[in-house]
Amino acid sequence: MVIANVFGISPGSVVNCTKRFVRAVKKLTKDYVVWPSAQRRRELAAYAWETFGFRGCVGSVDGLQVPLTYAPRAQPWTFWDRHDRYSVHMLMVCEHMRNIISVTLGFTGAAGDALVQHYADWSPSPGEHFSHLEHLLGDKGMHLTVWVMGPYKGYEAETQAKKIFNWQLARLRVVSEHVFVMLKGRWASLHELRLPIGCERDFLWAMDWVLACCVFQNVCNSMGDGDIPESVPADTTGDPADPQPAEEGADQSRMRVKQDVLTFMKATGLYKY
Amino acid sequence: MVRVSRRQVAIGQSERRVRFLTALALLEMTGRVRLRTMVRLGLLRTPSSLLLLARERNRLCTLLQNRYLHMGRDFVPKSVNWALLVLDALPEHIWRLFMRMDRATYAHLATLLEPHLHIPGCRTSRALSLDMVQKVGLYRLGHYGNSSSTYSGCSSSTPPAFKACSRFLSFFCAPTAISDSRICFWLFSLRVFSLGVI
Repeated sequence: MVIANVFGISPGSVVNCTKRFVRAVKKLTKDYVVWPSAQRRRELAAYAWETFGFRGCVGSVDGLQVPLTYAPRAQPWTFWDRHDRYSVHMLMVCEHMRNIISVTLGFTGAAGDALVQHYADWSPSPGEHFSHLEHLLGDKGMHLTVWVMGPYKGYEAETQAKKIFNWQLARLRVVSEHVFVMLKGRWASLHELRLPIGCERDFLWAMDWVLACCVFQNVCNSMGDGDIPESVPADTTGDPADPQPAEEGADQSRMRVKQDVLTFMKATGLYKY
Repeated sequence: MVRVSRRQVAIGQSERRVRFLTALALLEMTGRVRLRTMVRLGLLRTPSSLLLLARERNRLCTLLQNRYLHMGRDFVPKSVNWALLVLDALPEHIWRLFMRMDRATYAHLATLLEPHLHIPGCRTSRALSLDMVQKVGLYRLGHYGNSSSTYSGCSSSTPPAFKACSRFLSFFCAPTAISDSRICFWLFSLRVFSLGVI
């Protein structure tokens, strides 16, 4: 379908309109893609604790590749991802209510989730983004730290208790997969970005495009346009962050969360012996 | 046999005349062609073809604007904002297929984006409305495979000759703030005055 004919304007005007529009949407980013305040994080953690048994979980993090239709002109091999296509990478943190709270852009498809995680805005200064015992849920590809909890993999996951922990973690972490599907379903241009990338300016334009879609997703969520149940009350106050997160290693942290989850599942009858 | 209306024939003739006069006026302005009458009347600074071009352009503009007003009873006249009118009249579930959000969210988004979309210095009559910009942007972001389609296979509603004529006139003799009808009037007055009719 030709947009220019649909709207009765010239093709150049379509391009100019889109640039003007995306530029305007980019200015809404600071209002709609924001890290939750300490009060809001406490509410999210309480929701995860009462519903799934995860103490201090404020959201889930996952990476997503946005495929490109055309091969980039400069260094195309850096855009070649594990799905055998050219793409750009985005790392997204979602809260339990399917709101996007952080987006990390600027990496090509060849970059892995663990690499991009190190450059996320919440990663270098976790004390400003996480309170005591707070963490995110990630998948196997993430770099597991005190603030990013992941499943057991390989031979570690052979015991029954760890398998059940992985199952429960996947139930809560699936929110991020839902957000990806909703994002690509609603903003279908992300299925395959038809933008020629020939220089840095084009690359930044593609990043702005992806960011605009994320902003729209949050705008639609804030207006209740998406059939999302509201079980967590809205953010009310902006308390300052607590001083320091837990001073323990990633394994100890995951062990502690696992004990909490298994205790919760045994108490609620979800644990299968 | 294809049936062509008289109006279509008139538009075609007018387009051809505009194309020819554009070329002629360009040649005269660059000094490649000097007609005898111009030399005799000493009107080198205002080529006669420019006057004819302005007049023909005005006629073509009128023909194009009124081309849908002389159709049959069942024909719905289309305007520039026809697509917007159709979109606004769509039922809610079809509207969502186009704009990817419901009308309430769209209105909220328009409120949010209005201060950022507005361009302070842009006051021309051809500037697109904010509603149009928002709809085009949402449509392009919300649909798969629509970026390349803006470049290929697109036939604009404005004839190329008309565009070329507009560019030519605006470059040579028309400040943007002055309408084409006034330019035509000035040229006509100048020509008639030079010929000594008045």
